[in-house]
Amino acid sequence: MNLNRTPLPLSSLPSLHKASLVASALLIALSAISVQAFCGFYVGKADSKLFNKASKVVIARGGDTTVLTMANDYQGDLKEFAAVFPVPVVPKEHDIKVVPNKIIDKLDAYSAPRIVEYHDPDPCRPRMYRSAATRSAPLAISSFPKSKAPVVKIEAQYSVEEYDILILSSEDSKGLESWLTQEGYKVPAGASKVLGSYIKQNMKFFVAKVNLEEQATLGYTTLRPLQVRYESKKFALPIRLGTVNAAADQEILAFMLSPDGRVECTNYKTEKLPTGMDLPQFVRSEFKDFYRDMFYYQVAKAKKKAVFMEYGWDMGWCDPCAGDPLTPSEQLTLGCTWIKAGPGKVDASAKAKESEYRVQSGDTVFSIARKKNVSMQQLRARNSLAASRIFTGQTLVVPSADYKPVFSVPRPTYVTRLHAVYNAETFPEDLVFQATSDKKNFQGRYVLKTPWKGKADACPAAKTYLETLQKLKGQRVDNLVELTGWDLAECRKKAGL
Amino acid sequence: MSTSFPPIHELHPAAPQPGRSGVVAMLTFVQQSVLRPVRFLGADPRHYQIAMLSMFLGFGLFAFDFGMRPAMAAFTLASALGLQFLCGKMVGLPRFDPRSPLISGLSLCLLVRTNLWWIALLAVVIAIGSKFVVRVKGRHIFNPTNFGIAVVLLLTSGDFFPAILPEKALWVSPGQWGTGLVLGFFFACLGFLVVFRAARMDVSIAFICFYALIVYALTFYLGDPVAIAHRRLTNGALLLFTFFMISDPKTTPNTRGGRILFAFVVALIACEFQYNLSYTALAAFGVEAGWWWLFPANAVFYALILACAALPLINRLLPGAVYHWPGQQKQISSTN
Repeated sequence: MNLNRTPLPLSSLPSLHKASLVASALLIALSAISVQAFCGFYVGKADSKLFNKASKVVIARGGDTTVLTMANDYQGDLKEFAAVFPVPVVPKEHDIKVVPNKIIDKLDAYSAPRIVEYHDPDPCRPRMYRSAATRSAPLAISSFPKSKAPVVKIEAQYSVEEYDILILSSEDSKGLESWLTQEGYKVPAGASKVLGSYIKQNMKFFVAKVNLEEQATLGYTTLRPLQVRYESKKFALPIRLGTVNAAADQEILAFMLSPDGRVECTNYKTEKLPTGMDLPQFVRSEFKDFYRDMFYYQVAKAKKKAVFMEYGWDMGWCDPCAGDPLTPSEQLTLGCTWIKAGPGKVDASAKAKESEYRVQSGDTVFSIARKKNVSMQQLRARNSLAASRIFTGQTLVVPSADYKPVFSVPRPTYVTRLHAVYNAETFPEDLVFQATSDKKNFQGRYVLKTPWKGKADACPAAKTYLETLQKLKGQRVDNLVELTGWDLAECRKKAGL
Repeated sequence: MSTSFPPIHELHPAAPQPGRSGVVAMLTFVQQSVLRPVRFLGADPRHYQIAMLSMFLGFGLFAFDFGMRPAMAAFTLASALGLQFLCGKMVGLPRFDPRSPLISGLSLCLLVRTNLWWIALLAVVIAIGSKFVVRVKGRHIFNPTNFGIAVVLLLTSGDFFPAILPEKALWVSPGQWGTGLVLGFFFACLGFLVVFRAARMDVSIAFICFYALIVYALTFYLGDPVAIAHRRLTNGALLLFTFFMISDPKTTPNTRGGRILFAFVVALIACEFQYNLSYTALAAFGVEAGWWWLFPANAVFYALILACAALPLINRLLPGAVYHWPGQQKQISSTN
């Protein structure tokens, strides 16, 4: 795999370091195996089910436009799947999309807390540094089995890829609850109160189930993330339905994308995860447990009342990179509406491969794109459609399959990764967010410093180095215990103290 | 030790002469070193306020991680003092009084956040400048800190119209203090000291009561758990606003009746901007419309600036004696 690594600022290294850096780089270039190590040596591979009970959502907010993408890790019988959540307005069909899972995974990998390895330089002569990173894994959405029933108004009904979508509204919360239960959406008992609160605020309900024939035709093995876009002054994530009668705490990973800067919660405390500590070497093989235990320990320390920020960074770069940043095209797919896809220059050979298409009644950009085997982005960009609708009789240019739109990113996207554990008591309200213009960088980053493996008599500096090393080892164990709450004696034993 | 402190018997005429019982000497020493500062604090309500705000700022900078930069805080304070000095010189004020600009500066540091130096300076300029420029009948009518915050928010937040200055360049972080009974109690107690001394307890109490009433009513109407109302009321930013901002004696009505009316207006407008009450009310009658305003963080500041704009009217309807800081003469037109 390819890790984009921002290079060390060479000017900051003393010249001896620079020389050895160049020499090592040459050596590495010559050795095929080492090239891979240089580009990306993972300290360890994170299991993708590290926090296997957490939901993943991506919320892109530009102006008053919110685009909410929910990852879907439902594992059970597809007949039984259903998702219900409130939305402020009735979305139109072109506002609902299915996006590839791998984009969310990529965003997760890019922003995940990372373990970075450095090598202590030989105290007798300088050595170059290598760093590598690893990622933790994201989570799944909890969903209800579905069913059907009346008594509510079906505001809209859509079929989007493998999903059948209903937008419901109701005057009566108990009626809505029984409707959903009868239809097979197993809504927990007592949800009517929460539903009632949403109903009184004129919210609609987005209800999704799997269309089994479509799903079989499309041939995907897992359910793909659903995305809905709407315009509203409300910038909030509705979590209350998930906490009704829930036996255990719920968990969520929210990736907030904004052109302004860091996004924070206004009605709950947003805390930064402790970061940057040196840790003992044995964490290398236990880093999954380390990160999971550390996170839950910090949650407990905050009495479960805080939302944690794990990453905050301008998506144009990273240092060190645990994964690639999203391309403008991927950002646009996740709803970064401030990125514009323009037609760019189309040369004669590409023009030859293009065709025209006359829009018929009932067509959508999505259906045309599918029919003509191009992506929606390509179709929109080539015709400068942006967010505008198409109308019957319009003539569209269908670009060639390898047409690349030109993206303009007037304002770079800032991603805030928020991680929260919540239940009905500690988080009684929905999360309300606001964007700030804070673009300072923050990342969860934990450091392993591999010691030099020389002997004390190698040179005079070596003895001092080894003495300091013992002290540092103790400090690193203390750091670890403070972060995770692990047993001090056991950690000292594992660290060899 | 001996060089920094004059002998006890010189501090106070009644102090015991050296050679008297050690206990008596110690007690007198305590009287001088503790009671005198306390008396100084109590001499003017602004002294308490400065002490409290400085303590909160210290917590925010060094104990809790609010993300504030000490350099930015220092810059804000320095520019507030400097601007007050300059403006005072320009209009010919006899003395430079650092107390009001200190309060403005400290409040700005505590309540809002920005990463741009010139935005911080703009907020200070608008805040201090409003005292000298926006005057009716020889008195400034807008709470200076609030005016500075609200105007810059209007220009950057995009709440009412698209942002003219860099978007979200200045923001309010209501979540940073967290919520909870202990915090609320803490703020309330300290706040009481300030407002009691300034004889403006009625504004603060009336405001928080009206606000609580509206929040409880909304929570009850929606069928939400009452814990939601409690959280909203114990928010640190709200309590800071209640006890340290709205209670400015110079920019609140002169009569008790006027002040209660003022508090009600601020609470109502704040809740309207924060929760869009009118939208929820219309939704009850089946009106289909989207939220037309929802400003979860900025609402209280807009509410106060609007209420202050109505101050001359309130004072005309319910006339009363103008407030003066202790020791201030009535003839001098005030800019403090």
